[in-house]
Amino acid sequence: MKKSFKYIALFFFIIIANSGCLKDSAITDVVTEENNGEKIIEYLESQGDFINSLQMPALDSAIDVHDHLDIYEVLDIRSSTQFAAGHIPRSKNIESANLMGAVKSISQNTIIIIVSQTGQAASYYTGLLRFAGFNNVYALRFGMVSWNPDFLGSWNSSTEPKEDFTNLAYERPAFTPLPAVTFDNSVSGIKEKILSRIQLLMSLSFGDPATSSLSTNLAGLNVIYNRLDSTFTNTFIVCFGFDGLYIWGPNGQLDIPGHPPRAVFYMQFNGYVSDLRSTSYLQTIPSSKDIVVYSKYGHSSAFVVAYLRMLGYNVKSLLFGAGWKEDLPQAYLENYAYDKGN
Amino acid sequence: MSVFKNILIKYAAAALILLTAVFTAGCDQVDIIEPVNIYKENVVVRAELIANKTFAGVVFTKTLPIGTTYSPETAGLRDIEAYIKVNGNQVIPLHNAGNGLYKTLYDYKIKQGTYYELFAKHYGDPIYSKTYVPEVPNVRNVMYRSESFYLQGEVQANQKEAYGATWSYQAGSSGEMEAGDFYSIGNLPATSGTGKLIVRSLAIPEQYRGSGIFSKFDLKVYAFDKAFQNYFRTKGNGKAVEDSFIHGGDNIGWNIQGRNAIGLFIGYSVSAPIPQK
Repeated sequence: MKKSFKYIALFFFIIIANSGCLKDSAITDVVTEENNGEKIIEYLESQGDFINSLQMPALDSAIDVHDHLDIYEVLDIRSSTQFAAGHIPRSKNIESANLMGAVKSISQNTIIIIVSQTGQAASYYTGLLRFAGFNNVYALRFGMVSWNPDFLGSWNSSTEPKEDFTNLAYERPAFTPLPAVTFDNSVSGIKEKILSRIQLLMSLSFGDPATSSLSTNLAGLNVIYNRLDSTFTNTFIVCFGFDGLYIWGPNGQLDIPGHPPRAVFYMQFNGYVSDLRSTSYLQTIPSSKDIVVYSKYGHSSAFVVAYLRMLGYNVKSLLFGAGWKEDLPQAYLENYAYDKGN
Repeated sequence: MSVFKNILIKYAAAALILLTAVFTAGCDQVDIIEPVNIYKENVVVRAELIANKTFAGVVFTKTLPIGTTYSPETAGLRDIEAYIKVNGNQVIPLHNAGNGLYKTLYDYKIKQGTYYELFAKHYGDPIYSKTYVPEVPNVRNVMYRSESFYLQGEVQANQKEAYGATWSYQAGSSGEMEAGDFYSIGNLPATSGTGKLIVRSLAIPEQYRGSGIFSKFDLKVYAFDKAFQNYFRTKGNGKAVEDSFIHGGDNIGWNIQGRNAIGLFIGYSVSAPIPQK
């Protein structure tokens, strides 16, 4: 037994004596994460961060388009039926899913105008094209509604405010992680993956003036309010624009409430600050909730929907914007001739 | 039977020892280092996150072979993908601003009482660090210790932080003069959750010790992420050995994780200059 003990002791002595020769292992326990949302923000920031720039919203007026019809390229994304009922002379009818290819085929020195019925769907697709690097693309502000009074019926702003509208300022919530975004693995390179994601989002239908998975209307929002006050707490309403939109009444009054209950204000770039920057409040928009964004007329919110959809948020634009306080501005409404048929 | 058992145990043990000796014999190898192969390129990461100050960015450089003249252009790394993450949620990309400096696209003010993580990749190799930016320290009872010509103060301390202090002097139009280093970086004993800690500066230089001047010196207290204390204690290890009785070559307490990556990504806050009582 004593001898066995001696052998065991000798065994441990050899092990211990040789233990010094174990080399330091390389550090392999580095904390890592794959964050595709970060990659998208990084890429878009490196391309000029359109959504937080003075270029936003990229809109053009009917007057300017009319005056440059001979040199601008006008792409109409409405249905063939709507197009046949009336369209801007020389414009081409094209499905939104094919827009990217069409825009690619046009010189980057040519101004391209995207046309929809009210300008809101066009804003969404123009946003995506801007993210793809096409800085020569603009949406027609108010779409066909601004071109000729015959299309005015498509604008459907409700002027009736809810009783519980308010001008109380609601705090931005705490920061949340970016939504999980899956990239198309059939392409390599971050730019290609992002372009592939843009193409995917181009294939979604933005209802204009009808609602869709990307847009809702005041009636839809009313459903949300009713539930917001009781059990439905999974919707977050973003008011996007300048602070007057949030607080003031239609004529600057403070006595007429400015926004729906629990709507939270996010500042559009005003030359100094922008609340959708990575360094500011972007991630206070809760990634776990359904988001509804509204702006003054529904254009800017459609651009924001394009941006937030890029990042994986489940978000819709409120059609016709803050229609309870903002009438369709007469200054933008023209009476230009249009063509019929295909 | 027991004799046979003893023999069996004896031979089994001998075989085991022989096997272990053979198995570990390879450890005796001597690595012959070819002088031409001594140089190993490391990624060096450098960032200070100062509470309530605009984030200056992260510098990624590489170590250069002996004999290579250092310049930001040659040392600065161009192929880094990096972002910082605030309190585990907010993601802020860093963009290459040249010479190895990676910055946020917009000005970003560092928040006190906040955790920051650095995620980076260099040719696919991950680099990571995490730091805490302490609250601006609450300093009391600042006094001049005439026996050793330094200033000391009392700081409300906690376990996440380490503290240092400097003397500072408002030298009229020429601006603020401040000690270039700390006397020490101290922290609370591991058993204390929070408590008061005495911090002191280096001695005020001799030429300022006259009665009319030293009384105008203030104390500034720095609250660091605790990781800085390890760095401060070991920062001399990388210097050339100039004393025969001191051995060099020990590791420096960096707080960067990653293969062949060293450096500091450190948060701190600084008190305003506190006048003597």
